[in-house]
Amino acid sequence: MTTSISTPIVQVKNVKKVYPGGIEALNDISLDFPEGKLTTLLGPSGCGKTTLLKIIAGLLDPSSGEVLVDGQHITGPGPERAFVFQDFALMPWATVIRNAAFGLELAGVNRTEREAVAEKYLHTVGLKGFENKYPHELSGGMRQRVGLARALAVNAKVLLMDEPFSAVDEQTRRKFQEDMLSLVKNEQKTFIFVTHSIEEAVYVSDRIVLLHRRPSRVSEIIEPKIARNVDPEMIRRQPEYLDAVENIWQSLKKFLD
Amino acid sequence: MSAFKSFFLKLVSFLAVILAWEYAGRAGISAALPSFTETMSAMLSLTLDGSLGTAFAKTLYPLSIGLLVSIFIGVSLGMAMGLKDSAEWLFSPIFIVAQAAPLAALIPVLTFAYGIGITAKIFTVCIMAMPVIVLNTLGAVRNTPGSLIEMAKSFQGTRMQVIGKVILPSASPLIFVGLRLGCASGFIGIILAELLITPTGIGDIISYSQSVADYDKMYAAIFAIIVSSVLFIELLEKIEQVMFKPEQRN
Repeated sequence: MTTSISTPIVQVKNVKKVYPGGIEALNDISLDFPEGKLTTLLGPSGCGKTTLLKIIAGLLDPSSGEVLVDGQHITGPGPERAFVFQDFALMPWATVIRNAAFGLELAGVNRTEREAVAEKYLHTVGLKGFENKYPHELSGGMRQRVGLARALAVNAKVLLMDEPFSAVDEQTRRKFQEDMLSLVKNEQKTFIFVTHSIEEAVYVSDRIVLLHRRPSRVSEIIEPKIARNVDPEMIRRQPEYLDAVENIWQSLKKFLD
Repeated sequence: MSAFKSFFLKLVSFLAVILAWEYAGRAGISAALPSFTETMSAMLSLTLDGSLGTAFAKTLYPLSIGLLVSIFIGVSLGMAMGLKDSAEWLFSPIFIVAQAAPLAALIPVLTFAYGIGITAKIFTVCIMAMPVIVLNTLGAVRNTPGSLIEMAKSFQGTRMQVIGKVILPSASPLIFVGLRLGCASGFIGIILAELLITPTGIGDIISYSQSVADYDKMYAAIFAIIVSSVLFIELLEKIEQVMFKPEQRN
């Protein structure tokens, strides 16, 4: 285990992204993501954090540079990575169980098998009993739980989450953040998490990567030393939590227009 | 609204039209307007002597071929145009023009090119039905949410899986709107062809009855083709409900 912790599972090397029309979204980003940790990409809107996440996912090609996962150069999406979408990306015509099993359906797993796996993860995310509902019968928070179950069901090592809680209400969001902590603890996966919320980043992250705005560069990497073994309610009262939020705010303030 | 109430209101809507028709027929507005009951008794005698059945068979033959061709070519072409920009640029101008143009004006040209046989009639159905099917399918494919496509790609879906499991089901409601509109136009097309090219089938009953001033039969034939068109469109809706369960969506 010690070796795998020291070797980063995802390496981003000199990645640049220039969109057609010459807009530079990312400028020479190099980053390592250690295995088993939750790393957050944090920055103001337009800083390229979602672009970087989609490049790691293989959904976008970098203009130059490369991404290595498990030491392998990636050219597209792969089974070792799973994506959780900001707008949930659920198929409205499919039941909750079919949506949750869709990654396995695409991989050609037979129906009984994939639905058993999907059911297990729907229970993990707290959606027992909703298997045969349709997405429009669910609240926003529950829809994102389906998206999360779908990503967990394919058993990828790396979970890429693009502002997963930004489209749900504040109360649900807090519950989600608490659930994230137990998920990170129990699932032994690497999480790469994108958010624009400083509090959310500090609450859930082992490491926070602060990104500059256009052209986007890494301005700072922060590792909040927060005790996670306490009651989740208490985390927001720890001085370490409050200091980290304040430091990040002071650091991001400089880049505001 | 309860199913019973909506059924009741639909019935009222039909009854109101039928009553107004019956009244207008009896009031003697024009000798060329028979009442509803006269039309129905003419329909009964046309049915009993077998001439309505024979006429329908003659009309439905080119109509069904034309509709099948329009649906298959229309949906596949629309899909191809939605999936590939080059196909859209190549084909969409034709269909946009075809949708806007009064295509009935082309019927004499089709007759000149294909003669007075069945080919010209099938073509008439196609030019009436296909543009709206193609353009709706194109729009439907283009309307697929980008994040759903990205989702399927992120789980390593193949191109065929993305099309079959995401784009097609996502596009199906709009495709079916196009099919309903297109098939209704196809019914218009076949009657136009039968009136303008050579009188056959239902078009023959309409034009012959008109020429001998047998208006009861003329209206009976018009009524029959309208009813069959409506029933066909309803059938398409049922097919959509069975295949794609649109009521489960938002």
